[in-house]
Amino acid sequence: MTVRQPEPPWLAQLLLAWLLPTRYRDQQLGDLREEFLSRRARHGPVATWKWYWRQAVRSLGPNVALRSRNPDKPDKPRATRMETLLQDLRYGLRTMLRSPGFAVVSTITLALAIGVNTAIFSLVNVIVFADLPMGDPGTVTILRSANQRLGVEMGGFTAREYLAYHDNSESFAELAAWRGGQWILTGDEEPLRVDGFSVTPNFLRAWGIGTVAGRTFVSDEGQPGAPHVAILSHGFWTRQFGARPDVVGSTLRLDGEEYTVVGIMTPAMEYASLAEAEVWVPLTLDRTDETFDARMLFVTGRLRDGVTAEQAGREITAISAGIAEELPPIYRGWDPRVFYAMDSLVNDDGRRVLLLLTLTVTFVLLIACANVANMLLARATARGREVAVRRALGAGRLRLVRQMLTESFVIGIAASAIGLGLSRLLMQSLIWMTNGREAAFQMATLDGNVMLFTLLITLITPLAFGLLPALRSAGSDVSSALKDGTARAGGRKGNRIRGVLVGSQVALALTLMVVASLLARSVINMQQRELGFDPAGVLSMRVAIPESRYGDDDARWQFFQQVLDRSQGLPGVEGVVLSRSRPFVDGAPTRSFEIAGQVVEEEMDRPSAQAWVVSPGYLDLMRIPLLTGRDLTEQDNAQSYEVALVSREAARRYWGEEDPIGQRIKLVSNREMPWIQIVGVVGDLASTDSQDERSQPALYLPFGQNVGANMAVLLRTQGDPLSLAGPVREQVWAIDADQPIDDVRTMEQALRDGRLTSYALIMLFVTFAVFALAMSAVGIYGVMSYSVSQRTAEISIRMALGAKSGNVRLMVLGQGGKLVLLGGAAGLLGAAGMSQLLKSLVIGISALDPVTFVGVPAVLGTIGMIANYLPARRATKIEPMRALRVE
Amino acid sequence: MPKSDFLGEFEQVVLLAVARLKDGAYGMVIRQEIEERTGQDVVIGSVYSALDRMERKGFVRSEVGNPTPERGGRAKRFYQLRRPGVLALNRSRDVATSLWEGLELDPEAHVQ
Repeated sequence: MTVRQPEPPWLAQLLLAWLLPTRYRDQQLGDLREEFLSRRARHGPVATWKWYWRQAVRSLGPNVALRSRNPDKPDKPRATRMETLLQDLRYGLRTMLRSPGFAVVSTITLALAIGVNTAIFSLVNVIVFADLPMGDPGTVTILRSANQRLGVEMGGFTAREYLAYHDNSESFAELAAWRGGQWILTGDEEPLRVDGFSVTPNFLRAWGIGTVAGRTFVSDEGQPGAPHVAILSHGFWTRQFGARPDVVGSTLRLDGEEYTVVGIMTPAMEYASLAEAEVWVPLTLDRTDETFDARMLFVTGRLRDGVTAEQAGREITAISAGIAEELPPIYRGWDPRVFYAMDSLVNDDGRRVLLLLTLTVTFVLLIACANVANMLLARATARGREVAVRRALGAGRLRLVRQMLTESFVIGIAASAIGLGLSRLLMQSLIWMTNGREAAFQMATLDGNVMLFTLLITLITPLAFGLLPALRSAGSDVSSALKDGTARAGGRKGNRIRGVLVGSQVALALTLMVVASLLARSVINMQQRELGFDPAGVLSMRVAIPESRYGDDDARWQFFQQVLDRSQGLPGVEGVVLSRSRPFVDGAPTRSFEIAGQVVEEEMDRPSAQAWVVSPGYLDLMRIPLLTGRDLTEQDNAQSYEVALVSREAARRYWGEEDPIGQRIKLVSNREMPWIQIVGVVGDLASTDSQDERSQPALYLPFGQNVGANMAVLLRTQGDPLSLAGPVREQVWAIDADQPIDDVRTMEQALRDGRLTSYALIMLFVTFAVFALAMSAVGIYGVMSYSVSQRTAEISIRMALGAKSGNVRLMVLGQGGKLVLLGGAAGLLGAAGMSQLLKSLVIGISALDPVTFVGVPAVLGTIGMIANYLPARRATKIEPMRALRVE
Repeated sequence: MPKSDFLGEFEQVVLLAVARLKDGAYGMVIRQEIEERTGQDVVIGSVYSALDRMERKGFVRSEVGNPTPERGGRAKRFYQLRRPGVLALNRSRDVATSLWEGLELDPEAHVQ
C-alpha cells in the first residue's frame, strides 16, 4: 500500500488557480507544493498549513496584477465586456428598485450573516493566525510537563529538570527557561506592583528577539551574585518613563534593591499573555536554593536545523528517564513533552470553542444563503415570463445567467459593507460584556486578513445563493413559459429545490439550537450549584509583601497580624481573615501527602488535596460549616504541633469509614516535612472540574504554621463591601507606606468576572441560534405561501367539488410538516455529531441531554408549524369562483 | 537611458537572486534565496509578478522545464539573466556607489 502524500489546503489552491493566468498557474502551484512538502517535514503540519495559506492570501494582490498583464484569451474586445457589466448593473439596480422589499430583506439577512462571520473570523485571526513575536517561529518549541494523576496537561518544570535538559540535550540550538515574577517598584511616587519575567540570559537569543534600545542579557548575568540588571517592556517604558532614552543606564528600586536598566524590549513582545510583562530580569538558578525542585519554570527551545519537535520530545523523555533514579519522589508521574510554539499557544478548550464558533457562523451563513436563494427562486418563477421574452428575442442563456448573477453580486456587496460595520458592533459589545477582560476580543481588529476574508465571502456568497436560481430561471422552457399558466405548473421542480433548501435550513437551525441550549444549560448549572461558601458581603484584596524586606516568617507573620488587628477595629467590619487563595478565583495548589500507617505501592495512588492556607476564623467568615472536631485557632502557631482540617470529600476518599480526626499526614516535598495532625472535618466547596461533579478533596492549613508572603485579605462587612476598600488600604499603608494593594474586588464581583467570557460566548451562541430559528421560520412560511398561491386553482376546484376546509388545511399542513420533519431528523443527527465536540464544555448534563434533544425539536417544530399554519389557513379562505375565474 | 531601465528595490533583489542561482533559478528557490538573504517574508506571487515585469523589459528570459512528481506533476519555469538585466544591475550598483562616495552616516546624529 502506498502512503498518501499530504496535499496543500485545497481551498487555497483553488483560490490561487482561479486568479492565476495560464502562463504561471502550473509553475506557481508546483513551486508552492514542492516547498509545502519539504516544509512539512521540517516544521510540522499546522505551521506549514498556515504558511501555505499566508502565501496564497498575500499573493492575491500580485497575482491579480499578473493576471491583468497576462489575460488568458482576449476573446472579446474589453470595452464590450465592460459595457455588458455596466448594463447588467444598471438593469440589476432597476429591478431591485422595482421590488425594494426583496432587496432590503435579502441584504439585511446576508449582512447579519456576513457580520457574524467577519467578527468570528477576526477572533480566529488573532488567535490562530497572529504573528508570534519570535524570529523564525517555526523552529521554536515550548516544553510542557504533564501529570496524569493530577490532571495537569500543561505543567512547568523544576530548575533541576531544566538544567539536566540544558546540559544533555542535542536537539536544541538554545534551550531557555523563564518564570513569572512580581516586584514592588518604589521611588518618588506611590509604590507600584510591576509584573514581569525572570528569564535565563539566553531566552531572548532562543526566541530571536532584540531590544529597541540598549542591549540584551549576557550569560554571566544568570550567575548567582551577578549585579542586578533589568530590561523594561516597551509599553512600561512608554507609560512610566515617557519613552525617555536616558532610562537605559539608570537604576530602579525593585523590592528595595537597585537594578540597572540595560535595555528596552521590542514592542513585538507585547503579545498575548507576554503583554502583561513590564520588567524582564535574568533568572538565577541556584542549586542551593529551596525552590530548586519547585515546578515553576517554563521551558522553551529553538530546535537545531532539521530536528523535529517529535525527535526533541523523544530525546527529552530519554534524558528524564536517565535521571529518574536520582530524583526525589515528588518527580514521579511527570512526563515532559515538546510542542511547536505555534501549535501550543491555544489550549484545547479554546480551540474547541473557536472551532465550534466557526462552524456555527458558517451554518448561519448557509441558512442565510438558503433563505435568499429561496427568495430568488420564487422571484425567478415570477420573472419566468420576462426571461422567456428575452430569450425569445435572442438573449443567450449565459448572458441571462450572468445578468442575474450580477444582481446577486450587487446584493452581496451591499450586504458585506453593512456586515463589516455589524461585525465591529458585535466585537464592541463583546468587549463591553466582558469589561475588557478578554484580551482576544480587544486584539480582534479589522486587519488585512479580515478584510480579505470578507472580500472572499463577498465573492463566494452570491454564487452560493444566486447561481442555482439563475441557472434555473434562464433554463426554463421558452414556449411553455410564454403560455400563461403553464409557467406555474413548470415550477414543480423549483418547488422541490425550495423544499430541500428549507429542509436543510431546519436541519442547520436545529443543530445550532441544540448547541446553544447545551451550552446555556451548562452555564446555568455552573451558576446554580452550591458554592459551599457564602460570597455575599465579602471584600477581598491581595497583599504581596516583598521577600527582600520581610526576610523571614516572623517578619511576615508580624506584618499580616498587624493588618488583621488594625482592620478588625474598623467600623463596618464583622471579621477579617487571611487566605493564600480565594475559592474559584485563584484556586489552591494541589499537594500530595502520605498518611501515617498507610503504604502506597504506586506513586500514582498517593493521596492529594487542594491545600488552603488560612488564618483562624476563615470558616466562620466564609460560612463553611465545621462538621466535626475543632476549628483552627490562634494557638496553632509555629510554637505548637502542626495541625490541619480536611474537607468531607478528603475524609471520605482517604479514610472512608474511619474517623480522620487524630490521624496524621505528611506533605510530600523535597524537604523533610513535619507530621500534621488532623483536628477537624469541614464542608466541601463545589467542584471546579467541569467533568467531575465530586468536590476536590481539600486540606486547610493554619497561616501561623505556613506563613506566606502573598496573601488575600478577606473581610466580611456590613453594608457595601467596597466602601471599606479605602479605610483598609490606609491601615496597610500605616504599617508600610511602600506596600501596594491589588485586586480589590468583592468576592461576588470576582466570581462574576471569572465567568464573563463564558457569558459572552453563550450570548453569541444563543443569538446565532435564535437568528437561525427566525430565518428557518421565514423560509418555511415563504415556501408554503408560495406553494399555496401556486395551487390556488387546484384548491379552488377541490373546494368547489365539496372538499372540507379542514381537509384542505390538513393537506397543506402535511406538505409543510414533511419538510420540518425531514429537516428536523437530519438536524438531530447533526446535533448529535456536534455534541461530541462539546463534551468537555458541557457541565452537569450529558452531551446527549434528553431535555435538550426533546425540547429543542419541540420548540422548532411548534414554530415551524405556526409558520406553516398561516398559509394553510389562507388556502381555505380562497373563494373558489374568484380563483377559477382568474384561471 | 529610458526611465523604465531603473530597477526598483524589489526588482533588484529578485534579479540578484536569479543571478546567484545561475542555471537553477525557478520560482521556489528564488523565493527561498531572497528570504534567506534578506530575512524578510516574501510571497511567491510577488516574485512571479516582478519576474513577469522584468521579462517584458527584456532583463530575464524564461523556459519551462520538466514536470516532477513532488510538484504534483507540474513543470518549473526556469529564469536566466539577459544582457540588459546585467547592464541594469551594474548601473544600479554604480549609481549607489557614486552616491555613497565620501558619505558617512551616523543614525545617532539624526532626528527620529
